[in-house]
Amino acid sequence: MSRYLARRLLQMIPLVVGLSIVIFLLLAAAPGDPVDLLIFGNPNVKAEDISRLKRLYGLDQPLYVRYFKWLRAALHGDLGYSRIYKQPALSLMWWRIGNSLWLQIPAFVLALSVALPVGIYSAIRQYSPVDYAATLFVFFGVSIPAFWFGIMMIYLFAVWHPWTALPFLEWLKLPAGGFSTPGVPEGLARLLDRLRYMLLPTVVLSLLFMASFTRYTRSSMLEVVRQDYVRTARAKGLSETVVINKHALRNALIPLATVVALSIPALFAGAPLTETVFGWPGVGRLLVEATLGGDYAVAQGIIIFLSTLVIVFNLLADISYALLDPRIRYD
Amino acid sequence: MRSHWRWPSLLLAVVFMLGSTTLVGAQQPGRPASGPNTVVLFTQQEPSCFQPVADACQLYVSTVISTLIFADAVGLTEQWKYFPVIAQKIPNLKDGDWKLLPGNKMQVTWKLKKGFTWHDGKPVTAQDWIWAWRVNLHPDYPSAGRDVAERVENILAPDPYTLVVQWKKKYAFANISVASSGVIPKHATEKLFRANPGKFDQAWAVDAPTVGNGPYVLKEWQKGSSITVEYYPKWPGADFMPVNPTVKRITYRFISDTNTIIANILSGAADANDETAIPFIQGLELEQRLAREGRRDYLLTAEPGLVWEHIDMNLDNVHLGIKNVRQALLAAINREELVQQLFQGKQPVSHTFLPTKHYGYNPNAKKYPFDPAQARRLLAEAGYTPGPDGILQRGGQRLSLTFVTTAGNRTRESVQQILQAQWKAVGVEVRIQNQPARTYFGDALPNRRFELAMYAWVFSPASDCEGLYTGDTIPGPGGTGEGQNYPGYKNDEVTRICHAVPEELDEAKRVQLLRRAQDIWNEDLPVLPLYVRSDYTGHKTTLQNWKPTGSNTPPTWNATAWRWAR
Repeated sequence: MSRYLARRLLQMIPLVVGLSIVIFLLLAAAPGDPVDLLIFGNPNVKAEDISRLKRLYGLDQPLYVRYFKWLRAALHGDLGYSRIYKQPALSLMWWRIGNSLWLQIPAFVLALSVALPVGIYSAIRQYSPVDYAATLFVFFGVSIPAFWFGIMMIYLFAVWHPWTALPFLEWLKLPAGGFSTPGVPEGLARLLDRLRYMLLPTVVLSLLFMASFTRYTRSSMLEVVRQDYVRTARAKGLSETVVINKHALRNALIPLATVVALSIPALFAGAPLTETVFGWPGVGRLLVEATLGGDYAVAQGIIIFLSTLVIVFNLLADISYALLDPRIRYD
Repeated sequence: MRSHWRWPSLLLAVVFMLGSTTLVGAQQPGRPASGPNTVVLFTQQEPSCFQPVADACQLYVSTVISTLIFADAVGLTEQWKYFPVIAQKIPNLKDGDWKLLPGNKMQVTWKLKKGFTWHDGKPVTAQDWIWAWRVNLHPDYPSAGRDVAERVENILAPDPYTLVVQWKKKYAFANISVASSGVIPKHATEKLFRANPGKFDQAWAVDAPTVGNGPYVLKEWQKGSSITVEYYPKWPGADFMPVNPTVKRITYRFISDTNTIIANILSGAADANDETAIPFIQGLELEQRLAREGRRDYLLTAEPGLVWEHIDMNLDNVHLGIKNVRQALLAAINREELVQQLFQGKQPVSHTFLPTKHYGYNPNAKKYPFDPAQARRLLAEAGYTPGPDGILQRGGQRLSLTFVTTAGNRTRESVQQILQAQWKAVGVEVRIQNQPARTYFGDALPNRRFELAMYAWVFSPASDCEGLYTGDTIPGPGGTGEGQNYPGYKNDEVTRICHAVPEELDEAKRVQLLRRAQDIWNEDLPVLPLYVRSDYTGHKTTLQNWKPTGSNTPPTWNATAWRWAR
């Protein structure tokens, strides 16, 4: 196992370097650099200004020189500077990732806490009304676009909110997007204020997770409950609770653990659509803005960071297999 | 018993606390969203910094908020009249504070008002303008706006409240700004700049507090969410920018999604929105919706401005090099109907390269009303005959053109489809081949790799045609020089006029020159003028004195004059 781990860790190095080259080249190969975009539309900018700015930003140097300069700085923890936000790309990235996690972690936890019981129940009561309802919900969750659902939620809770006619439900008028209310003092008041802003995007975001986790849990559980060892457990006279919890569920959770592990990089990637609809300053929105605005340093930093996370969590998923399932051995 | 109730009680407590943080001010239509002393404005983008040196912060929203925090020598009203802010008066030739000197040079003397202070209490002096100009011209400073600053030879300060600007050559707009570089506090920024001039724009945004001299002080910046400014009690006031405003606090909220901004407007959480908040088409839809629902609490206004939507024709193309073809293309399209159908007439048809609000606009320049018969006649005169597929041809070459614009821009794509159909009706085939903005602006236009290209120029009240239609500024392979004459238009008289306009100090003569240039240009027609874009700004009708300018001066220019109706 340790040899396997060491081999995989060593393999990661050329993989990440290769990825950084591909990402760097792809971004640099797109026609038009940040200076072209900056000056366009302004008839007063002269040609000398364009070439001077390109020289100042190092955009006049050959691609390989630019790459090695970037790599050397990146190895020292400097991912460059955001031209749009006038901040070091790394600190901007961390801050935005932190914001995304404010949404992603509660959404993830909410999704798991609903998906697990619903998935299990609909598997052990297959073709029951609850199972049909759960399947319908899964279809709804998988197929509904997040931006549409988000806008509907905003309309319902921020614009229409008919229930606020009742005095005790007045608080359920929620903000129509944003991150916090200006002027709210720091501390508990700001935390509670943030929770109000989080409510709608968290629900929208969790719907997607919820649907896919429910589907995985149900199908995995369905497969397990038909196994011989479950039948044996029942034949031994064990109670249904023990059969399901101890014998079936433990085994059914193995594939789900892999799915969950592979979903974790997505938590750090943010959710561009949900973040945009709700005006949440997360990393997903930042990546879209940086790519469209030609903010190379930021776009590159985020993509490379996320790619590395995917590689790492793939490894962790493989390891989790071996830990959870004694039949799997890595040599 | 107690343990059973512990969790529900906790839950109720959280619900109660959440409820108690409901936004103050009830967010009811027409009422201020956040109290009678505050205005909450919505916009799409978040600024990166507020450095007023030659728009170094790049985003328009930086200018919008900078206008609250920084004041300059001169301001611009919604009527496009310049007025003195920190300057005692606007220099002019008649009073002798704007002098012509031998060798085509000139000198402009500015007298500054006393009593203006930076927000750290230090006085605003002539040295602050000189400093901003030097920063702008420093070779390592990444400024994209040096065109005017480079025309200045030197700036002297005989005393702290007098500026003498020496110009290398004549410049027509020498009295609308000191040296077109803004003003920054020398005492607060000099050390930072000298440490690393190339990164000054970045350093000031991150490492130093923003010290302004305007009517409002930066109070709080919640990154990703909002910026709040508060009235600066030592603001001495100026015309249109009075002291002691009733609006003591302005909060700018950044929401990147238009639909979410609209939801905030509908829910009463937005007191106003700037030009960038709602794109035109969605603004139009919102305006109609508010009218349909009989809501008079929020007023949206579309103000035609200085953004000119047009189609460049590449004059190197075998068909587009022929004047008759270019004129026929314009006569074949019904622009009046187009702006009515798509924009309900709120983005007016443009007939020449200057927007109608521009001082040099020529209302009598040749117009091309919709006349398909005339279009066919012009094409027939040029030797075009219908081919077997109905498309015109000449010398075996079909009159088929590619038409490019920014992919994903819904408005432009709708315009393209209408024009394509109308051109087909006169026998011209147009193939739409849109490109992403980066490819389009970064490659296709500068290298003149297009046949028909639709985009917009953003003018200022002082813009002219130099660089755009001068024969020595055709970029790309085989061009005549660096510049933005993408059609490749060459006309000696227009070139001469366009170079002369910025140096003509007499406005009446300047108008004459620009009108003459438009006469020639409209006859040659290197570009198809389409319409002048309008921007929607909005405000609660109870917010008074909201006066958008329709220029690059943002609606915050007179914020100290805003007030809530009782």
